[in-house]
Amino acid sequence: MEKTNRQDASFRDPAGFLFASGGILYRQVNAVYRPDYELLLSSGLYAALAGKKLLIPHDETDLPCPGADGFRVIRPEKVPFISYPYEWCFSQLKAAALLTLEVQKLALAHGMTLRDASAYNVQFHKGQPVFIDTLSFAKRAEGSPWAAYGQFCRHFLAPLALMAKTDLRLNCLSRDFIDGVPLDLASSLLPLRTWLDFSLLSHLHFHAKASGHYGRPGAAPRKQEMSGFSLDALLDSLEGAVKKLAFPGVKTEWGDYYAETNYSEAAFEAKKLLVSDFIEAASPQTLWDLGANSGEFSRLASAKNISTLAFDSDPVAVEKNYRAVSARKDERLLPLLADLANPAPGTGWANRERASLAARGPADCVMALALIHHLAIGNNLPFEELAGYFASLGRDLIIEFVPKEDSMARFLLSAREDVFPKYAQKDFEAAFSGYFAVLKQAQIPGSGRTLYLMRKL
Amino acid sequence: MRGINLLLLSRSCLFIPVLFFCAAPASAYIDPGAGSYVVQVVIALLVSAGFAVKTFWQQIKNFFAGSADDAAHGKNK
Repeated sequence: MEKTNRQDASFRDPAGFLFASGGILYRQVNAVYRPDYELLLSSGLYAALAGKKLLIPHDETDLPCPGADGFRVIRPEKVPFISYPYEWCFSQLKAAALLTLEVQKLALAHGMTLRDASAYNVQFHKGQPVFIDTLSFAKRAEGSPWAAYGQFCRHFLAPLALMAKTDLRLNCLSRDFIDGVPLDLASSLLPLRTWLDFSLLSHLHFHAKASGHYGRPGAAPRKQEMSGFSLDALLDSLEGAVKKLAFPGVKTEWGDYYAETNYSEAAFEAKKLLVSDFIEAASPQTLWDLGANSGEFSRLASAKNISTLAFDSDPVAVEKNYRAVSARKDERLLPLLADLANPAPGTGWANRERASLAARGPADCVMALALIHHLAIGNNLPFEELAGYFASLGRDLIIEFVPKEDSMARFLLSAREDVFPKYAQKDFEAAFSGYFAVLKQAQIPGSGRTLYLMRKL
Repeated sequence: MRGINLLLLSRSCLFIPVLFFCAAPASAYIDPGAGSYVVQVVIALLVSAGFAVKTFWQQIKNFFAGSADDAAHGKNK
């Protein structure tokens, strides 16, 4: 076998690990997991899950195991981009939670159970959430409770409740707490009225208190037993709790951006035509739209069958985009939350378990429309810094320069001192010429803005 | 529906005092798993009756829906 690279995301798992070889991702199933793996297939659970597109399908291979104590190597269907729970909007996290519960229900019906309920086991693939950890299933011992119940509450219910009841932006807690939001923290941040909601009272507040009480040395209770019916009742209760949590009605700075810009309808359509033309000229297979808002321009790429990621820092804009993607069944567009002034870092053990945004690239093409003024004026980021970072993210760059005279740039400058003497088109072009060559350039009709297509030097 | 909401609310109110018997701050050397085992057993106990009624009712609905489907299927033959 060619040189293999073990993937950092799976080194905790005793059942197996992911590795790449020849550009293809494989998973080694360890001998210790063999009985459960064989039960997954023989019980019909794998066929049921894959048939409903709940679990990523895989092929078995004849490849030798690269690690010690290997039993088999399987090749899962490729998920082009791995996203993380702290990059998901409310409805994405909710969809991932409901998927996990559905997977667990089917597992119970086949005599198995989920060993873990990590939100990192779910990915968005072809427009839908899908469970990706084939080795998460174990035979359920008669009478055993759900070992992953606490993890489900930390990874899904707690952040969803915090987003719905306290503040939509609190999903960022999942970035710091890699094994889910601690329940005592969630309980203290949730408003008092949630104590009158039986689902949140029991699964979060009571759960938090009991974890503190019974978790002390010597305080562990005697072995608990649960029937299959009780487990079904518990899952039904969790499902009800998740379904009841609704997206909070909030208005954010950029949520209605397109309705509030200075573009006329004709200028907006002209910009769309230009962007579409530049995308075709770049001819990428993957495109990252940075500052995508609700994805109006990202859809120009996904409609051309380009695998497109639409990043925005506004959770309302990402929510709108995800709902549009779901309604249109757009399999090529994935909306994600990202603050470009503070992009996702490498986290977890040795900063290697979850990759930074840049480490998950590069894309064939990066698009930054109506973004430069937010980063340069709104965040004091020099053009040279921006050009260097964009060059690290992709090969081609479609970028819109917004002059200071533009109404949106004036809005940003209205509340601050203008300390940006070098914010001019010639400075922009000089800084970016250090990293890119301009392939195309056009004035956007009806505005003072200029659109560029650049290629990395 | 209003009756169900009142039932849930009253169940929450009865449940709150239980919390104060097991109140403890989180600290090191705590195994959060143990609490999760206890909690799920208690919650399952509390919601099982409602779940049984819901499941039974669903089976009745499925039975009649199945009968209606069978009748429609038969009519189309």
